[in-house]
Amino acid sequence: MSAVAVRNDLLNVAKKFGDIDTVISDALRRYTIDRCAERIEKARAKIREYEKKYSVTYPAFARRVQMDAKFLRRIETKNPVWEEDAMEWQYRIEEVKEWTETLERILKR
Amino acid sequence: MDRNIRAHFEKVIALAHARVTDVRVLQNDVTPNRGILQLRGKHNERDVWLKEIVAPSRKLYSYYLLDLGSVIVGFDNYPDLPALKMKFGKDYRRHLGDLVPHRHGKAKKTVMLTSEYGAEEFLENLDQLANS
Repeated sequence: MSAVAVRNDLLNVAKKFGDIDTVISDALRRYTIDRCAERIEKARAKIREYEKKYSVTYPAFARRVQMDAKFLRRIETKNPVWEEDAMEWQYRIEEVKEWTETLERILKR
Repeated sequence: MDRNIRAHFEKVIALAHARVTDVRVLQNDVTPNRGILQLRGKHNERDVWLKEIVAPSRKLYSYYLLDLGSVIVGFDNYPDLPALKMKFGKDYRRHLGDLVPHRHGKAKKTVMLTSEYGAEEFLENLDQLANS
């Protein structure tokens, strides 16, 4: 348990909805769920954007830029700084995984 | 960790403002374990594209100087086929996914392995890199 400062006017209204500890815990739970979901959706949107841009999934893209010279040449002709996209693509996939795990932990409690 | 990432990104942004014109920070997002910074700017008439990702246990980066969309010089550590082959030779397939710091020359026609490079180093050396 932690102590946090909460504005009195908000606290007084919150008390009208029941036991204050429960109300605050529920509100915080709802807030963190919403924020996790927002993060996941934002990262997923970025992943979809890259999949559309390069017409492949990230694992296929990563494998081909490392093994397929023709594919790499084609990508570099279209976008000479494709590395910027590749590194963020990978990052967003990891982000989805991390925030999904966090969300699942909250939902299990 | 997020405080360190935040401080590092702020330092890079401040240096970009000192070395580059028309600085636009496209992304500066830090969460407890990870962060992403992306900015654009101008060095004389050329474009500066910088992106840095800090994730648990590694840093990914891409620092490029471009002229009308063509690469003048660029540094990144994302593994691509030429860089992997250069670093690992015939054995490169066993190292897929390994980060390989390297430098691209004009129009990406050359690749050179480097040690880990930093945004500060790139921004500090822009004059020299532009003439390389």
